[in-house]
Amino acid sequence: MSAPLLEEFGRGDAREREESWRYSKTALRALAQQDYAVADARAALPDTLLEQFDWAATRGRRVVVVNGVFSEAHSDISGVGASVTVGESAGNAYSIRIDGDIERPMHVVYANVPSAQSSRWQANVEVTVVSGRARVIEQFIGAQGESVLGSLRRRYDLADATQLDLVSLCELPESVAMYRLVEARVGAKARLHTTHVLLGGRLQRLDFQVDLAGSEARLESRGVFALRGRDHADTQLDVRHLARDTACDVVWRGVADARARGIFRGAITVAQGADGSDAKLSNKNLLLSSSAEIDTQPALEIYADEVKAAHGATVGQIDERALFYLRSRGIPLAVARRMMVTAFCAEALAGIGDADLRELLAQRVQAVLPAE
Amino acid sequence: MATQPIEIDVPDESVSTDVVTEALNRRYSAGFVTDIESESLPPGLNEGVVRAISARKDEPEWLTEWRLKAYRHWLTMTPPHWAKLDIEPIDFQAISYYSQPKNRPKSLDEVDPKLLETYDKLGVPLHERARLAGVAVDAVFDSVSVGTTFRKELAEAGVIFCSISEAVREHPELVQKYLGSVVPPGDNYFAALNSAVFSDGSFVFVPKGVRCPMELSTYFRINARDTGQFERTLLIAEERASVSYLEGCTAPMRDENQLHAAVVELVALDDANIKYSTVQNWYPGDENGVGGIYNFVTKRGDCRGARSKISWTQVETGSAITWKYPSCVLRGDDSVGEFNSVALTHHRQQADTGTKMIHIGRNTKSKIVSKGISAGRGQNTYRGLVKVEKGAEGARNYTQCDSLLIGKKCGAHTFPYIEVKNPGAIVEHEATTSKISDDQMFYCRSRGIGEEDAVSMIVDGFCKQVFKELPMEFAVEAKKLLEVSLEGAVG
Repeated sequence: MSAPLLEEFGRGDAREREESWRYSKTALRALAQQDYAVADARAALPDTLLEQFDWAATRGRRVVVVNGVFSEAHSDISGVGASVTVGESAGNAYSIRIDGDIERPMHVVYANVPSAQSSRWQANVEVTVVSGRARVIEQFIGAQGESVLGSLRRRYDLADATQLDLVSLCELPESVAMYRLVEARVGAKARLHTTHVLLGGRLQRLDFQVDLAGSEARLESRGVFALRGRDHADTQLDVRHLARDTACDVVWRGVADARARGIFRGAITVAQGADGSDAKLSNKNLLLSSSAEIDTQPALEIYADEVKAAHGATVGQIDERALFYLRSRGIPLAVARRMMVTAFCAEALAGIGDADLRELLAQRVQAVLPAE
Repeated sequence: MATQPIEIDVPDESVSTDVVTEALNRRYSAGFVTDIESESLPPGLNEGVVRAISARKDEPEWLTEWRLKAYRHWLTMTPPHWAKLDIEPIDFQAISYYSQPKNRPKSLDEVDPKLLETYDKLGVPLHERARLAGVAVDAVFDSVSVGTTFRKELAEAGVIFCSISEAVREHPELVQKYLGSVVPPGDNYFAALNSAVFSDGSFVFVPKGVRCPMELSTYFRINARDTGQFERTLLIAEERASVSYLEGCTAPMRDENQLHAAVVELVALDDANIKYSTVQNWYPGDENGVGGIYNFVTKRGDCRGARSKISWTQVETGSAITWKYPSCVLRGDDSVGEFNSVALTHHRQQADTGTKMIHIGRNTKSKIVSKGISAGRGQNTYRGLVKVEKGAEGARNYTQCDSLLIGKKCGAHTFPYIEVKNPGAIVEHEATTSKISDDQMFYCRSRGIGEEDAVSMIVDGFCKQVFKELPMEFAVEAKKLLEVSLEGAVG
């Protein structure tokens, strides 16, 4: 096994890591075959990447990190206002502190730019919401070329009675692999709403760990992966109910076509004493090709009895009857299939309040679905 | 954050009445040791012991070699660690691998009366009662079969039902053909151990087109001290054959942990139908978790033929630790696998149980219904795998696993693994965890139903889906077992 990478990615002892990489071992091993140079932080961004993150709606509140390093040239934080502080310290570590409501979202872009040889980068980001309601959009992008392996550890700390809406779009070319560890702590009466979109990538691994640490803390997690070609995406979600009357609601959707492999593990733990917890998880997947594979594992670990916990998972294909209905209304098969898959994915995006953003994400998902 | 243990200290708020305390401290009613002399091999395991076991059973050369091969493979393996179980390391050299009651009886009449008394206390319908109940019993006492009834009736139908040692002597071609063909000797740590030292067990062969005229049943008991018991069961249903097999067990009380590592292999050919039911009530250890049986079992059915069906039903209330995953390999086209389970853990019992459904053939179907009940400090885990291979066009699975929590210190866990490689497959999994709701209790109480009765009613309703799969006499036993096991667990 690719010991050094396994050691680096994941948590717990060797056994736990081995288990959590159960379905992505081969992909990780393939990554470990390569030698990596340190990624060039001053690499010029190709125009195609620039276009991807230059959104009119977030100008003035944009932080751009190129190969793990804060990019003065591309970032623009002129309009963040007094409530947001962006800090930087040694070792590619950044902090964003939000104190007070922010109306318009912060846009944080992580760009993977290839060098002449295989390269890798790592960075740490801490986001603290001290008070009020915050919105953050994360965007992961990359340019095709020599292999790039990015690893990013992030911490989200939500103080009591705060709220964070996080939208995370990770759209990678097949030469880029990313490991993302997200640790979130949600305080009493605080609310974390996340939407993750995973598209493309040689290996995309998302470890998302949420501690509902204060009473009445709440998590709503939405996510969708749409994979094609030889894409490989692996999401490991761990929600831990540590206090009374905490709630989580998890809705993830997955689509795998061609030779892609999609993995989702959603584990919910209710600790002793976390009575009154309410946990819901739904994971549905569509398998569109006989060479694709979906592995799903919705797990529950319950140590308290005053609890409501339920999960459901399905793997299947597009409903033939619904397809027949659409075709009987004169819609060609390919269009009907696309409509069905789009609607299937849309369920995971429905929670995004900002209509423009929701539309943008829906378009990105649609772009990778089988053509009409 | 990543490594800190997730445990919050809270005062135990669960209602504690005298009834509860009393019921929680109930003694294990089947806990007694029958005092008959056993002739055991000294503790320890090496090639000599494996040869000695084989020699005592007058086994042919090929079987001795088969055992030795398994033993050598076992030496290269390590105990599995992935289960959510807290197991003290087992000293395999401290176990005696063979014991049998002295003076082997030739027929039921010669059976040691004390032994019969034991079965009596357990309510085994062996002797007269067996006839009344219409059940053929192949009783395994420690390692050697002591009595078999209804052999003649079965023989007339062409069904072979005997101990596996007898089968080795009388039907070696069948044993050689099927032994280890479903669970290979090197399959897992405990299956390898069993293959090396298996003591005895049942052998069932139902030939082509025969519907077995009666329910078959075996009662296992662990008796002599420090003796691990290693049953081996092999059940073959040929084309269009059908059979229902019942297995139940209970063990006497003692302090040392006892290891039990059985292997059960089922083979179903074209259009065959096998129903395998278990009620397991081995000694679970006392309220502090001292003693109790380690129940590490490998059970697997191979739906080799087209349109074959294997159905597992289990009610697990005993054992200190249960590690058991009755599985179905759905190889034949249109074959069907079923798993129905009720698992209960109380005091400090731990169970990691579930099933594996491997879909290989076209249009294969499987259904899983698992009900877990945790009380006291019990830890109950469902672990299941549904795997749809590339060629399993039209495969269909439905899984439902529900957990019921009774008390603040128990745990209920669900770890389903779903792996799908065929786009024509439909796999569905649903799970819920809850406690008995106050509304349900209030409703029952307001109708004048006592607390205890209300709990047992609700639990019975919770398990009904599984109980209805059991043969009638077992369903009654299982229901009673659950009632007794849970008495007073809720205030």
